[in-house]
Amino acid sequence: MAGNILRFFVQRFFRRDRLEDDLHTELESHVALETQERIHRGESPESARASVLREFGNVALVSEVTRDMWGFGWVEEAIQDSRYAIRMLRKSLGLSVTVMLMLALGIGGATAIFTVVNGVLLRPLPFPNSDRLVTIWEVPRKSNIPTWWR
Amino acid sequence: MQQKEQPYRNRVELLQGTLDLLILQTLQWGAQHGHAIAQAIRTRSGDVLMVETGSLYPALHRLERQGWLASKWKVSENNQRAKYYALTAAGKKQLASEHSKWRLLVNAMAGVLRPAE
Repeated sequence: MAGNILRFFVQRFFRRDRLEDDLHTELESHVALETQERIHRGESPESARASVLREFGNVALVSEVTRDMWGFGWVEEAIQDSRYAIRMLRKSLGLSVTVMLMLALGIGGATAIFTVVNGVLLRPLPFPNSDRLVTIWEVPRKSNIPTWWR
Repeated sequence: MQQKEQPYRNRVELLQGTLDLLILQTLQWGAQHGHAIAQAIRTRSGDVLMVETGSLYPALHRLERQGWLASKWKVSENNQRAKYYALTAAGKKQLASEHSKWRLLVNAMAGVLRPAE
């Protein structure tokens, strides 16, 4: 159910130019039908159309309120905002590039260091009972290695 | 010009949410375009309820988005291309639930408005 609604939404989002035309035609056909009816009742065509339009009110406003019902408002706003952001970044290109480089270096450096620290210091060794591991090595019987080392 | 002589004297403001019920109810008798829906509501209410286009079309589009209506372009009997709306299965279910909600509201109002004994 939720998936269906989402698919419906996405499909319609990419066809919103057609929806726009549809809405225009729909309101236009409403005016035409009402005008026909008034002419049928004996009004002159010109005055019929004029009074229909008067009664209809602000066509642009009606379309806008209807368009709001499609629920694309926030997506379109987000797109507009990103476009604005990109324009602003392009306007001061030097600053943008510097900031991006600093962010890239900063985040990259921190990530690299953390990866090493995480692997070497934080994670336990990948064996069972790793705290009981010992290191064994050989030493020559007679040597001049100092006793404290042995 | 009849409209002018008789201003919206007897008009009743639609309660929030009742427009949905009116639209769903009207479409119960078959698919219709927006203009015919408004006419039907007006006629059946004895010219008391006049749905404005500014409320009707947003409501139709909202109901369609909610999956209660489906729309299709057709040519009307007087040769005008119009967008016809029809109830979906979910719309029928919604109509039934709106019906019972409405009855609840009517009973509640009647209870409150009953003269004290």
